Amino acid sequence: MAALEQRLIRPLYSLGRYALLLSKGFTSLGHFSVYRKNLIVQCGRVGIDSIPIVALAAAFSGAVTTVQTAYQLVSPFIPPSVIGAVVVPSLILELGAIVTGFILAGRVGARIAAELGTMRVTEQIDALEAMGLNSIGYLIVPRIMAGIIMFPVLYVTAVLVGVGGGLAAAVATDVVSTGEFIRGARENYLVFGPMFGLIKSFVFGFVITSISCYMGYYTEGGAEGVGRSTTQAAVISCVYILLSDLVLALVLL
Amino acid sequence: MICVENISKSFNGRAVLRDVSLEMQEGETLAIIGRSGSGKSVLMKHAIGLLQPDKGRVLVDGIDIGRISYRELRTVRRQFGVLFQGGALFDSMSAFDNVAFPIRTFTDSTEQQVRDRVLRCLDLVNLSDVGTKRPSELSGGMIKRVALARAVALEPRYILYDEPTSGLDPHTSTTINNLIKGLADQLDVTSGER
Repeated sequence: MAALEQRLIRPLYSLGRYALLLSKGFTSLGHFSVYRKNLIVQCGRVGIDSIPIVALAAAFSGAVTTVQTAYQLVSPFIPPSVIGAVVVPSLILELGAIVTGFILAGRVGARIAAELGTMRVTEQIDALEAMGLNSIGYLIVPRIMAGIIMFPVLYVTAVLVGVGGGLAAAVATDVVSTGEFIRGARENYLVFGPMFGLIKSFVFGFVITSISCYMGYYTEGGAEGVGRSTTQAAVISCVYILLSDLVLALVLL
Repeated sequence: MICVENISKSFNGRAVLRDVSLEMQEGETLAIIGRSGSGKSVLMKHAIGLLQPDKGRVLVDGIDIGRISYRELRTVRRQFGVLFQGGALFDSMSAFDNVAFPIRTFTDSTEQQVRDRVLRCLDLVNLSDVGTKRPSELSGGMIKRVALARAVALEPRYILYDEPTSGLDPHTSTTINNLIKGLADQLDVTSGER
């Protein structure tokens, strides 16, 4: 009975603690000058440092989507421009954001949780608090802000590189000409598509960084605890990316 | 004055502190001795509100720190310097920046003033030559001394030391004990050691 009670209460307890963490962080910030430097550093780590891996993954996603679309759809009865019409909206609406999200969950989420978890178990967070600093505001807010600011940048990068990769694959495999690919993409361009992708990227940026900060900040149990937080941060971030992806699609499309 | 009144604390049903009371007067140096796991660190963390007691209260200069807002608690904490067991130096910063951190954060000092103050603090713990080194490049004794320099950087009214000499060789332990004694005389602070 106690175990069942624990299982039921635990998620609510975590949700409440997560909400309190965010409210404590954003409501007692103090002077921006204290956080400015940290925000710039985090923007570099979350955003700039992630560009190569995001670009690589996006290029391959675009190329693979093109090749698979060609394999499934191209026939004498379907114009080849359909490849551009499928690949580009797919990247804008879904792949650009989701691929970037998964990469950041693994790369950035795990790093944030490991950093904060190590700071927790080595009493560095206690040291910040003991000095009279709002440790949540100092450590967590710049990371979440960096996620919200830089994720859209990464999303745009992923879409552009993904379209480039798709086009390159189309030309290299000779399934469609550059002109046909672009014509297909332009004819089926949805004005709301990039807006939807940007909204998703803001949400994903918040989800990944806030969950990872939460996992790291409340790490318990030494090196083993840091390992556990790191893994959980990546896994839970991925789950919530998928959930929020579905919710946003249902609400906004 | 720090006044701990009848505090009790349990973790997962295990009582760590039971009805503990103590008073630390202005300018006094007080040592708390006990076997490992007897709750000395827990008691110290209660003194600065890092932990909340299940029962009882902690008064700092007559203010019940369990009944004030987080913002007010942070103001109270700024009167403290704390030396944690493992030093708790920020490993992303050099020794110099660790000591400079509270000065840059809580004062309007110019970079030259920060530099002068940090060098003075490092000199106080006989480590004026390790400023550029990261914590990972320092020995255990050096880490504690840099942490001590950081703890006194803002010239706090109270300094709390959590096992300042544990795990150190006798020579370094003596050095740190002398530093603590010297700081108490020099800065006229109230110290709590465990």
